[in-house]
Amino acid sequence: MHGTLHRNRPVRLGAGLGLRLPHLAELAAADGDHPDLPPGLWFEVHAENFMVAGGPRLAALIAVARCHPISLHGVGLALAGARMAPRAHVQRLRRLCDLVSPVLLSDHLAWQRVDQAGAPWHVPDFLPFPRTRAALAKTIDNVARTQDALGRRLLIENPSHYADVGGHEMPEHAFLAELAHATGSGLLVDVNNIHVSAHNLGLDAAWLLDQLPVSAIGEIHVAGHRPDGGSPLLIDSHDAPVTASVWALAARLLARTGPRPLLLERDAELPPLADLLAEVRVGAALLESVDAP
Amino acid sequence: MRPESPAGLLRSPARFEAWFARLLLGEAVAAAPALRRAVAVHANTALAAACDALASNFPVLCRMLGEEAFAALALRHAMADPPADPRLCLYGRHLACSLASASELATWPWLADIARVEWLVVEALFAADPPTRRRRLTAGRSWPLTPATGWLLSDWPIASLWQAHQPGATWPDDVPRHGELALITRGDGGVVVSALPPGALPLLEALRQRMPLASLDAAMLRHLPALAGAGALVPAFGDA
Repeated sequence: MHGTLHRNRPVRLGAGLGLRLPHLAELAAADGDHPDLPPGLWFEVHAENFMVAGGPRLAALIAVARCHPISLHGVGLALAGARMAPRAHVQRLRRLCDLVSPVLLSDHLAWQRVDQAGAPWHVPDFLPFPRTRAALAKTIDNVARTQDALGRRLLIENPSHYADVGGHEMPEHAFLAELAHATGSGLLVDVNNIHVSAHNLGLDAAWLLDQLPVSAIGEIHVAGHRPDGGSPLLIDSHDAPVTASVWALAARLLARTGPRPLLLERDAELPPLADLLAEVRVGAALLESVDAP
Repeated sequence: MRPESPAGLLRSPARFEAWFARLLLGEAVAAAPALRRAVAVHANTALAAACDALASNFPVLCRMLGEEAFAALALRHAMADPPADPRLCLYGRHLACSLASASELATWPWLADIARVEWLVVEALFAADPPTRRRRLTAGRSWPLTPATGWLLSDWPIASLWQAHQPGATWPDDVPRHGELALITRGDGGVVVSALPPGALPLLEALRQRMPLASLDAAMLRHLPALAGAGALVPAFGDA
């Protein structure tokens, strides 16, 4: 670890919801008094949607952050990339952190900067890479630099896989464990990503889950997926309710970790807020059934 | 071509990324079918995100063209000029250029300017908030424009067309047949596009250059109330 990180606000988080733009205005207008919100609810937003100079969207987020814990989840730091996100991007993320004081801050284990005829293309997805020692060293350097620049601890999300690119020198759980140990970062375990990856690569999801280093796990995501049209793949689409298989995996992981912030993600085919809150209550009930280890 | 193992040959992250990028960009690179399927998923995810962002950032254009035609335009633009910035809410600055070069849309020459207006709307939506403290005006100082203020002079009635394509708007009885100076401002109710007389353009340019109020001529100053009323100027008081 290169610098001194302040851990994010010490708040005990239960079940949370990925807050998307159509629901943001509704919540901001309620000014903390929305009738359907369960007590203790926290929200996670995609940081890039709010890394702007000003305006009503940013103001709405700040209003929500006054009433609810906010987690910032990024898709732009390219933490496993040979080329990181531009410094200006990190500076904008830091400013957003200063504005909303997030309780959690996370991004993905992925590279994202593609060179297209000399122009950068930012791919907001988990682009895969061989888990080599060289890749680990580069990722450790990227995460450490980013945490230093942000002054905050990052949680790193495990990717979803659609094929094995090969050439690995270590399994993913070992890569993540070494990364967390070397940088002081934590892990955001997306259980849906584990489910999708296991299906697509012909692996055992429960076994993959059981290998993850419990002490580093700072947050858990659940989300929906769908089958790909025309191939046997499952797509990490976030456009459907969480399946029973994914809830079961989440329960399995929680049994090892004890209570952890558990977030429902839904990015497409958005139902009304009340429907999502009903799904959040499933997660809350799961957490209530978990005893602290 | 014999499928090659990328990891066997490309040990450095940078070299692997360069190899994978060629796959992602559709170049003729040998790869196993399973990897090709995976690359197709990643490419589709990235392009869909870019196209969704364009549809979100250019709703008027989308309504004018229809969803199918807009989706085709968005895909072509995303492939030619993909987002470089992770902030997709700010993607589409150059969409007007793609429109201008789309031969099938040549009979709708106002579309490129509509795209430019919508880009100014995007910029206005996310611009810095104006100072909350009122500024004292004097003749020797300029009256600053708010950070959200933008404008576009067009040969087409772009402000009227933008207004007519807002949700719930009714088509006006008489769409102007002349060009318009569109003023883009942001108020409490969101971003507004309004039409100004073309004669207001020199005033807008002078204020952008921070020219002192005393240096503005009467022809310019008579447009000042319209700008203030539209919220284009930072709050101020004084005797200028």
